[in-house]
Amino acid sequence: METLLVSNIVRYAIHDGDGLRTTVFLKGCTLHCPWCANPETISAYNQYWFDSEKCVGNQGGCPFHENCSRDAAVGLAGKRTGCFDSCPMGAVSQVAKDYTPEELFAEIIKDRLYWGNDGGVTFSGGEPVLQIVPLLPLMKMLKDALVNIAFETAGNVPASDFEQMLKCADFVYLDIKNIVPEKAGKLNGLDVKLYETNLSNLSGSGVPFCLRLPLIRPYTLCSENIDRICQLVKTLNHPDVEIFACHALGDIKRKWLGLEKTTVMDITDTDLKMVEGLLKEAGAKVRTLSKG
Amino acid sequence: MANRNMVELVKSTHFYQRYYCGKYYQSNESKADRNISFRKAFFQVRPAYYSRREKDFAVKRIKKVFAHADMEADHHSVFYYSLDEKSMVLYRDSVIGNAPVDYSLITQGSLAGLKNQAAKYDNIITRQNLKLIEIIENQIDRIVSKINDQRIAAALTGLKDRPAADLFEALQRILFINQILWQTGHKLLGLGRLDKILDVYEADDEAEELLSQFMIALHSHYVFKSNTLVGDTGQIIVLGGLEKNGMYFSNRYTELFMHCLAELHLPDPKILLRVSKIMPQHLLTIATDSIATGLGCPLLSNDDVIIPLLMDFGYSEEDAYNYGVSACWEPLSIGNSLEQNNLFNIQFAQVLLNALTDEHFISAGAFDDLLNLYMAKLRTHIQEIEDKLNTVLWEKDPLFTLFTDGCLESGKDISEGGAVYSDYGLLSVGLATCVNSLINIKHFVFDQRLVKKEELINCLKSNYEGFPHFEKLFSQNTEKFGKDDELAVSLTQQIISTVSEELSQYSNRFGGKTKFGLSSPDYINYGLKTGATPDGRKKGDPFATHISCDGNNALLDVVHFACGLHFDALSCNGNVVDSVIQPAVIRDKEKFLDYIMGCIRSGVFQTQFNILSYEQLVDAKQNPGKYPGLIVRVWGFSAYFNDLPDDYKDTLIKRAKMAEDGRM
Repeated sequence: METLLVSNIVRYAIHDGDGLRTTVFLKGCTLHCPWCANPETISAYNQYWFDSEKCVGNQGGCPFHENCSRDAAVGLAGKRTGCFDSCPMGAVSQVAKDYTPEELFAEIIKDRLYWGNDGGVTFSGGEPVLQIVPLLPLMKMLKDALVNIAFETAGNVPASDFEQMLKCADFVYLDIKNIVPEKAGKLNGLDVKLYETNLSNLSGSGVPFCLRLPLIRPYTLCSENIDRICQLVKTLNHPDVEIFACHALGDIKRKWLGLEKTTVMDITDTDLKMVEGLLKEAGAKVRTLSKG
Repeated sequence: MANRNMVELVKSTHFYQRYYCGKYYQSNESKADRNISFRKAFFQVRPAYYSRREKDFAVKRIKKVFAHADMEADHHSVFYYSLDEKSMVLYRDSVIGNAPVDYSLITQGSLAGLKNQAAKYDNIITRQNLKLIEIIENQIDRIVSKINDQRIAAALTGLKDRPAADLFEALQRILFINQILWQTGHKLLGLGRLDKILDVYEADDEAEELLSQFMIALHSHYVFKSNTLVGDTGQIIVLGGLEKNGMYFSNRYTELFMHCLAELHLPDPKILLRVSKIMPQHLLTIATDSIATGLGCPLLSNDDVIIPLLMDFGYSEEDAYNYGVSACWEPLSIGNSLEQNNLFNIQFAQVLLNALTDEHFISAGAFDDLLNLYMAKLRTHIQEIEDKLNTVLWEKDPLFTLFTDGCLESGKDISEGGAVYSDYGLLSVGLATCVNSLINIKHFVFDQRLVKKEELINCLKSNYEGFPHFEKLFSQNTEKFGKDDELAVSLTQQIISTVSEELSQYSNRFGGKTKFGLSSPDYINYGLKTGATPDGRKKGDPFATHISCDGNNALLDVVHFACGLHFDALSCNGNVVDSVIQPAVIRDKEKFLDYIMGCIRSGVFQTQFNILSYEQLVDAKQNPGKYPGLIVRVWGFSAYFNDLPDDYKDTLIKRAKMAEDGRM
């Protein structure tokens, strides 16, 4: 049976939709944004983290693991799992865990009493649509249990998959990043045409949605991109748009994956206000998430 | 015998009494950082003491302490509330306290009513009650002759022979009896179900102001009233609650008390709100607003879970539905029980160390052998506590006896088991440490064989000196008490069940039962006394607070964990999930409300919240002057951060950091 590869389940999520939500992060993404706050969700395979602070090994070896040493452990960071058993210190650990749809359903439904009237589950990632095969039966189970389902997508997925997902969803977050056709592909692999198709299907589907715009200079916060976004907004019927400043949240995770640090330029309140103003002018209903 | 008489003789000397009371007064004074010399304390205090051989010594000493006490009251208050900190009773044995009296006896009733009640019997308690009532009446006359306020005079004079006419009178009478209890050396005095007691009085426009003034009066003598730490006064107001008919009780006073305390922003008195899944949502909204101010209260106590357990414990249906609490949250039957609920601590972690140093540990072939050894040691530990319980002697207590059902009927003082219920309660420390240690030993000593038993013993003995890898290995394990983890839940459950089973075979001196709970104010004190433990904790480090687990996903993890535990009739002495929350997390109050409602519906026993900002606490520790009003939740009480000893401050700072990082 196909399983879902889950990197994290956040059980008191307050920024991922109506009410209190349980957010499930699915691994694997069709994009590779350089600023990604969840770099562990990019690869579709399970990987190892390596947290050097937890390691007690030295070059020669480890007191608790005869086949490992600090150097060996460093080399495991970001590698696909399968080549190492386990580290008792938790210094080398697996990024994600496999769940059958039934297992994941049980994990999610535990929180049901805490969702109140509006809350529910939000699938995020990574790109949840990539795991559509096991995700659809799970969403069906949740639907039958009357759970409110939201998912967050980058929209860079086959239109037919996207439409199938929409049928089970109560709410959609569609990320909006750099949508300048000449730039997007090179930046993170986004197929802008496909994105626009999915967006138009979404807006025609009747499923309520919100566009999510992370502001990162110069990737998404540049006049060319903001112009395009505003044009896109104008084609829609007063869409909800959420904007927020992107922080260097992924840095510790990048370190554990053996990746280089990213540098993110600071976004000021003035930047946020400016973008908010432009989007409003274009007809969007804008919500600015405060810093922190 | 001769020796004992000598001791009595020495204790009865004026010099000894002054010495003892002076020392006590001085220690209380120093809590407030107002240094007073012993000489000054010695000459200032006025002790009241009678030899036990003297007839009616227990009533006489009350009379004497009244005669000694100055009756100065705060002239700005609409109420009369006077407490002379320098006038005190000298006691030898333990003093009953840590419980509310049934104040409805003196709001809806009167001293005449109590006299009539006493006259129905003809025994020692009849005579004791009548004498005491006379002393109280004389005290009323003394006060009335000294004050000019007609309204207060009417409220107090009326106490002699008629019910309180209105809210003002009811509150004034409660304050009067409350001050008498404090003045006579009782501690940790809860207020009981005040909204219920006041239900018969109309809440007019003046009500809010009166309740505020009432709480300000209770808050006076804050340091004098404090027990182990400044703030630990036990002045709990219990609000709301399920009724026998299945309805939820609340009234205008339920809301007003919560509202007034949040407005006053005082750490004391404190509020416990009895909650239920059928309660009106707007009450929870008011509670949430109060919690969000950082006040640390109300503490939420889940009637849906607790009331059935109290009936299993042995309370009548009526008493179970009418439960109040001891100084923090330990449930008790109000008005008819001795219920001394905070007597000793079960030391779960120390018991584990006892098991590890037992020779049978070395020969243990499997984890289950160790677990059996642990449970055997735990039973021995409980038996030792039971022996200690048997030695506790209570001072005769005419005041509590007067207000407690069962004493007249049985002809016995409350201290001799005269009440309808005469049960005890225990606290506990170090359970998280114990469970985390057992998990580590299972994995690393028995299953994976990474640590030899001898190495484990040596590394604990040396306080991890020379074994830094072990310290890391043990503390980095993410499988923990307080997390949604099968092994942690199962071990915790087995420990709870063992204690319950052992306690079920014990009766105290009065034939009463003894219950226990998973919480204690002593998580720091006992930590200081306990050696290094196999959870990476070093010798002297504090234990975890109640049922808590800070870090990633903690808010839901810890309630999933707590709801996985089954508490029974003897493990219901307060089981509080204690969560640290960053201010940003509860900015959206609607969502926080959903969470709280979820806690209630999923059967969390009790829960309290500390809204802490790491940055602010660090700054407050360095610059106390900047934060005179910063209040934090410490145990079953809130306190000013600045009043706390450094180790309590550090524990809160550490917890705030973990909550912020979201990492274990």
